Amino acid sequence: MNRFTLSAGVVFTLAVAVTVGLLAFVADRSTDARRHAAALAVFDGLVQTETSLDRDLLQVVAGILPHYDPLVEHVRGLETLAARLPAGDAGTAVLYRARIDAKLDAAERIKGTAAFVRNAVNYVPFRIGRYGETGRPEVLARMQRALIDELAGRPSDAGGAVAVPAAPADGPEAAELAHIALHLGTLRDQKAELRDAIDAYFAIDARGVLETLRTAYLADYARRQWWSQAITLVLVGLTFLLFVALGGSIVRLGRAHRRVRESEAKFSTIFHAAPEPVAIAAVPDGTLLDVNAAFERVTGFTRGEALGRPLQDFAADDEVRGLAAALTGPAPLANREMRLRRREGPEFTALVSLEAARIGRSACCIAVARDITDRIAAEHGMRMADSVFENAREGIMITDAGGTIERINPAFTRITGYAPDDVIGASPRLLNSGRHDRAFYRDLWAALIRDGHWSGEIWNRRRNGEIYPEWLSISAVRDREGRTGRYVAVFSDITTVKRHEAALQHLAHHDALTGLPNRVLLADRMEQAMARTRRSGRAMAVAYLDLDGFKPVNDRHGHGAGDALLVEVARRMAGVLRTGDTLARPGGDEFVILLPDLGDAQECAGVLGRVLAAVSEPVSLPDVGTPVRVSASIGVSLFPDDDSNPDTLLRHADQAMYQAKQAGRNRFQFYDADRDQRVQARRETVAALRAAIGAGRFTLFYQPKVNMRLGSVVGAEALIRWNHPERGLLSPGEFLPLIEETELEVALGEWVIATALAQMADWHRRGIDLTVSVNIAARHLLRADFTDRLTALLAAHPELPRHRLQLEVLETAALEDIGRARTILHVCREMGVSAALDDFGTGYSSLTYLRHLPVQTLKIDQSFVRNLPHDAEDCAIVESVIVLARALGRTVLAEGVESVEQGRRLLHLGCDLAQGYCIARPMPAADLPDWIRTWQADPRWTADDRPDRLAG
Amino acid sequence: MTRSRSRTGAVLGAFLWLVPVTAQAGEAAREPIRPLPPPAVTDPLRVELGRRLFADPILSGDGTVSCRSCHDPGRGGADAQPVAVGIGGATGTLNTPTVYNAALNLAQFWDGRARTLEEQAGGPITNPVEMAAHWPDVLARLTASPYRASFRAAFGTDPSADTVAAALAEYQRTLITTGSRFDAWLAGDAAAISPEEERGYALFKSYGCASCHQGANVGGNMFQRFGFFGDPFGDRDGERPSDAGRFAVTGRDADRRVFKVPGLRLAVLTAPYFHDGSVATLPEAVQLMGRYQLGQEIPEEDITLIVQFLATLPGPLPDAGPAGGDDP
Repeated sequence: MNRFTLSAGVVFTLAVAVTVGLLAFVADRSTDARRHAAALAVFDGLVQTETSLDRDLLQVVAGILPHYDPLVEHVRGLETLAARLPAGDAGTAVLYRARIDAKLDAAERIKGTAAFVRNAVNYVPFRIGRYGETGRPEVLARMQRALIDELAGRPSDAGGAVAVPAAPADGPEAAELAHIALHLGTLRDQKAELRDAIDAYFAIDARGVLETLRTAYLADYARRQWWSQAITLVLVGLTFLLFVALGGSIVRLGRAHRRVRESEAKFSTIFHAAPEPVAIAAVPDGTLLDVNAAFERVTGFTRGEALGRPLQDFAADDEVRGLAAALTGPAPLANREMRLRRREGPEFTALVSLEAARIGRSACCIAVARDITDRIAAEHGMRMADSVFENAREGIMITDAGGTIERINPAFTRITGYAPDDVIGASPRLLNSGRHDRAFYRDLWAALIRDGHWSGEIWNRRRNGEIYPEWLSISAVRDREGRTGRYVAVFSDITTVKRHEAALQHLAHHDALTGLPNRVLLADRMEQAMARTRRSGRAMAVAYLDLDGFKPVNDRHGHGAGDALLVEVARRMAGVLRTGDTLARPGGDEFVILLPDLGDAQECAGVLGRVLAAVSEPVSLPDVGTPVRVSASIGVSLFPDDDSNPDTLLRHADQAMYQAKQAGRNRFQFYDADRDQRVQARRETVAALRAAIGAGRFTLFYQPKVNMRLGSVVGAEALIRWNHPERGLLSPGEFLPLIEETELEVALGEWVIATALAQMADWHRRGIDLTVSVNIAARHLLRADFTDRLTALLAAHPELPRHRLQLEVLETAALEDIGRARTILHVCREMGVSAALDDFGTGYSSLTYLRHLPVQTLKIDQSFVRNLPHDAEDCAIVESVIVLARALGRTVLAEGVESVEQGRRLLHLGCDLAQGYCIARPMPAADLPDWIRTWQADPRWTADDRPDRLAG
Repeated sequence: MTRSRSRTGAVLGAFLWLVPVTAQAGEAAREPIRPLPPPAVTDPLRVELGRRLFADPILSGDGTVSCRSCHDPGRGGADAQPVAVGIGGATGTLNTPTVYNAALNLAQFWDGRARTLEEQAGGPITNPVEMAAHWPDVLARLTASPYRASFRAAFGTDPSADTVAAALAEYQRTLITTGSRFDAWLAGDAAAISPEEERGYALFKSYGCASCHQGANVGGNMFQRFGFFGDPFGDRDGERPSDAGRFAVTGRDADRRVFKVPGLRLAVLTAPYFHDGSVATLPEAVQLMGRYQLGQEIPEEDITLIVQFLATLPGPLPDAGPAGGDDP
């Protein structure tokens, strides 16, 4: 890491330096460009200014420019610009400045000379003019001629002196003429001088030198430019390379850093994950440098509180010295049991080890404390378990995995008579009573191996040979790997219990006086008989019998005589009944006879005639002198003509019995003739329905089921409609009750299943795979051949996945025969067909029953959903159902959702699935595909943010 | 009489002279004397600083003499002395030129040894017979004074010889005496000068004075030899070292007795005259100029007219208010 840091640092420094250099260089280049522009401007300015100076000097010489101010400006300009000439070709520059200086000197000469020439040009004519005012005309003319010649540059005479006319040698005129001649001479001289000066001025070639200078400068500039670009390229390249290197260094540095961090995290994790409290303490004072999570957990001190304190602080008072000694002493501490302190709560016992270590440069020690509180508690628990073992009232036997007895308790000896020495090392088979067959023991062992325990009643044999029942509970004791180490059998002698139980059983079901089945057993028998009758398709008669004249016997001869009479009559009646008939005594002087397996109503008449005869025979009673005579009045109800429940059948029979009494006693009477009319009407409706099936007047509508949260369609419920020729489209509520519990109901149910399957197959071909549920009536479901028929119907559509079909069963229907319903639904589930419990909540099902019913879905009845979300009680019920469904691992779906708000509430309560008018009304099959394509969940559902999402 | 040349000779001379460039004949009507250009104030902070320094004796060796001591606005920007009188009454050898319009000169000093005002400024400060100061002392004093802040404001640096010179030069560039009667006449106001003054101007040109004394400053833009006709120094009392003129700068014999032609804008205000201050009055100076430079004895009445013309040249003097007196 250090190497990386160093190299990254070096590269970074270099990169920065080179970048700065590059920037400086580029900046310098831009300055250079400005300087170049300035230099070019200087060159151009010099040329222009020199040209201007040339021009203005010529104008001065020509007399066009009467003053020198512009010349001064040009001179200043030249001087200023010349001073700004770029450094470079020093020699040429010096030469150029010298030329310029020479030019300026020459210019000064021109200026001075031109001034004199101008003087003369102005003054001579002026003076000649003055002379002309008084002088001689011929002289004047000559002088004018001489002036013109002079001005025109024509030499007027070879001698050079101005030809001045002869005149008196002295006098004013002579002086005047001499003066004019002097100035004419001056004019001539100065003009010559001016010509010289001009020649001298223009002979000086400054511009050529300037051109040389400019050429040299441009060449130099181009060269510098080239170098500068080359250097820039090199610098840019270098910078790029350095930054690439820097990037590489940073990446490597990051990698190295991460490795160190990971390593540190790894060791830190190990340290903190260690299950034992570990502390690192400085030597010798014991100052804590670090503690792990287990230390915090066990002592209750946080790391912040612990660090900086000495290790000894955590020892109980009497242990501090020992710990301090161990810290300073040479020998490490190994597994010494010590009392340690917690932040709060009692001290605890731990095995403490100290190990010297070095961390970095400091000496320290690593202290590990293993909390053995649990072990001590375990020892205590073991002692307690022992005492339980010894003192239990139940016999306890412990065997090894092979079943060899290892240990027994005193209660074992007490119950079985076997002492420990008799049985330890032996097999429990010595207790075998011989009452149970091989299969019993095989099942017992199978359960034990599968479930780990078995409990039940078993007959065993005591040492003295006596066979007794015991309630035995065997548990397999498994080790961590799940292997059985031993078995523990606990049993109690239930001999007494069994005895009482049998007596109670009989009492509960039999009339104590006659030994006949009482009302309770009668109800049971009736159920069985009705079920049998249904299956057989024959008839059963329920006869209610009341003794005529019993009360006077009872009053006259006492209860004893009455009881004796009842016993005798019962005996006689039993004598005339057929095998399979049931005679019961619900109470008093009333008897009930069940006559199953009848071809028709008349068949029972013979039996009942015998009964009447048997009862009316005289009876001799003990302690009563003369025999007594009684007779019987019998009411009869016929099943299944009277397709009612047992109570109703009894009640009907009872009513008929009263009719029989009214009709004169000693006779039997069938129940109620006027119901034939109703039976007739029903038969007509049933006939119409049957015809409707054949005529194809039924159709299925489908109501979608959706997941409100996900906005997806999860299925549809098939709902039957009767397209009645006169009454229009009828809902099931208008015709199903008429055929409840009839064969037609079953036929219609099968039609529904077949039609729904055909529709699903049609959809399946069109790529629509939808779970469709059909409603199954209880009678239909409970039929013996239900699963066979269903298999056949499904077989017609092998391409359909079976789980697409769901059966909806009314809760109340399922409860009619829960055992049977469970079996059938279980078979259906094996086939792949799932089931839903419809109208859930209306049947007051118990949790236990539900648990055993193999249904996947609970449908919350719409009567609860209707009042959501305002009815608190319904809210509570729905919530309970949802929680219950969740607890049982069932899906829950709400029916009859009519508003968005209800949907929201259901979502909030944890129910995602729903059907109802708010989502869609039931619709013809043809409409469903389009509806699925276009449906979208209400945004208020999908946006709903439920705090605790329950499993839907 | 108009400004156009009435005299035959002048017309003739001009005509002949201009033959080669007749195309520019219209330009020939231009007068040799031009109106003064208004000063271009480039940097008010520097000008103001220069104005204060100019009047402040802090620049002199003993704190008694300022620039203004000799270049007194009350005396036409000069000192009315034949030769300069410096610190402790020391005298120089040359007549003090006016500070007004000096910016227009092609060079400074009589011999033109300073090409710019900046170059010139240091001269008197360190001249033992003028302000007799040493730069380190001057700069130390300035740095210790409130001037330091002014320099920092104007130049961004502490006082230095260069910045002192620059401030003074910048100030002097504002000392231009625009607004004279003659400039108004040049601008077309025919009534701005009297007929006599106009006649004086014509004579000024006819005698040839305007050959050298031309331009905005009526001179100052060229060098000329003193004594083209005759020997002025011999006529005086013999040649002195200070009469060498530009020779002292260039060392060329051709430059002996060559002096900068002085501007005549404020000539009427700046007696005495000539480089040695040897001439007390203006008519006398005109007369001597005619004699030695033009080879003429100008008549008395013409001299009077010329002097009258010269009196139309000064405009109002900038900074010549009440504060223009002696330094505190």
